[in-house]
Amino acid sequence: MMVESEWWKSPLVLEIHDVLREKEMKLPPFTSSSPQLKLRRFLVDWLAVISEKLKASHGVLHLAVYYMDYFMDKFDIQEPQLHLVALSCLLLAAKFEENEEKIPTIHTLNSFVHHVFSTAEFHQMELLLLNFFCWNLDLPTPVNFMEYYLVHAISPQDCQSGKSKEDCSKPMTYTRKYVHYFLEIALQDHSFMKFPPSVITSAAVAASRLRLHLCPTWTPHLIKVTSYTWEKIAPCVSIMLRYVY
Amino acid sequence: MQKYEKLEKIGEGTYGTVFKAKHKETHEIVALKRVRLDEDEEGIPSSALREICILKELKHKNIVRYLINEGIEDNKFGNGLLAKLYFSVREARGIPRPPDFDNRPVHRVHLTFLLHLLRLHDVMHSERRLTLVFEYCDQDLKKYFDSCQGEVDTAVVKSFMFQLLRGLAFCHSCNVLHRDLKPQNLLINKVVTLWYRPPDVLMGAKLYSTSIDMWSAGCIFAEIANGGRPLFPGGDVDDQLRRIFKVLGPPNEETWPNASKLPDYKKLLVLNPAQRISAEDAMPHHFFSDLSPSFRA
Repeated sequence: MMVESEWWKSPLVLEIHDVLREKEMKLPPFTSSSPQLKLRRFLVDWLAVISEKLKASHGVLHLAVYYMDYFMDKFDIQEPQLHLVALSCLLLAAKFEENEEKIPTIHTLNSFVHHVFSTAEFHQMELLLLNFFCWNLDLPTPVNFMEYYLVHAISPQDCQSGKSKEDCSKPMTYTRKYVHYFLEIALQDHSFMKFPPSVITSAAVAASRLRLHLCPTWTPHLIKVTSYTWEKIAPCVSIMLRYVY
Repeated sequence: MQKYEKLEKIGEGTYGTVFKAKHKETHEIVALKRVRLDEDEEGIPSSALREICILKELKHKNIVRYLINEGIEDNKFGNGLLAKLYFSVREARGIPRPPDFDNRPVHRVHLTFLLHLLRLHDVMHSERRLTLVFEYCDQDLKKYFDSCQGEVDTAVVKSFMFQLLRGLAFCHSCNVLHRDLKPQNLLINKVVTLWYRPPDVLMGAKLYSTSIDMWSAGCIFAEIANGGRPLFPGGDVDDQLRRIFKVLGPPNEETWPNASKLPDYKKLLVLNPAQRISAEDAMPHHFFSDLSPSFRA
């Protein structure tokens, strides 16, 4: 039986992938014009720590950071308020993406800032964010493409390292770890915001294959699945690799 | 709220009221669904949030409009002649369904109930209240069927089913499951109906797929075609399964693991969910071959 919560296994996988790709084309442009851009790195790290403490799903952090980026990009926000923005983005992302019982309460989120904000301030910020996004919180992030591209990241040829037939589980495990790692890097550095999410995920797969010395780095099969040529993802891959070499 | 003049109350859910209203300038008739916020410490409920996001995305006009008002009218008419489509808050992009999804009180997962089959025009809010503005539709399928006195014109069944299937095909391609078809009076009683639930889910399957919607679509199809008599009006899970097996036969090695050769709407009512036809595949069926091209546009 097909499990639709794992869309990459759905019989409609191609259609769903198309829909996601269409959706990402409608993402607003990111202009890097936030006066608080220098604090972004700190906020992203802070949110990463919090979401780890909350045991939030992988996609929630990415989504929260997307909300925060687009919002900060358009406003001049006083520093004390930035924490409220960041926490509210995390709350919205969790409400949108997370199972009900895993959505943190406002009280819990507030505890990370020693309860300096009132509940009303959280409510106001939530409405402000919702209005800003016109209630459309469904922004595709690189995480949305991850599982689907991972399915195709390793081919049977990659698993035969000369001598005997090895199984694919080992390269698969390493690829997964590397892709996770590269997506985290992409989250921390705002220069990745110029790439669509699917390019970032494709580049993370390519960078992982490169690190694992799998040849070719970008297979014809991956070109077909992602519809990206090597030339298209190479700029993104090279930024990622700056962090490892 | 000043933009609209309330005309009449058309429905009341567990925690929301629906009004028919008129835009003061354009005179457009809309349905307003109000949700109180002041009772919720946690701000906008996540169910509301997700539904609004889905509604903003699924701007597909072929999702059966007829169902809408019939849903509202159900309040007055008691048990549903026709079930209605209900969009689950399942999201595109692979969000796992909460494990307690089936056990939750209906209102937790079902903020805007039937109205979300309508097109959402606008979302308004104050500190205390969230108001969803939907298109209003005067068509009432239930009344129509009542006037037919149980004899429903095949052409109507056809167009209805085709629109339903197309709506489903569209939603499934967006990875949105409708998940449930349930009369609204049950919503108010806070009872979850089993009538439109497929055997795999009844027997405890935790994994959902688009095939559950297709089962429900089959039940609706049979219900309309039978002049409004529900196909499997089970009282509890056991009774529900008994009724299903009585009509379709109990599952065995042949029917469940292997493809079934059941004809017509029984293709939707295939016990084995993996074998159930998809909306996409159901649309070219010869049943719809003489359907007016305008429906396909």
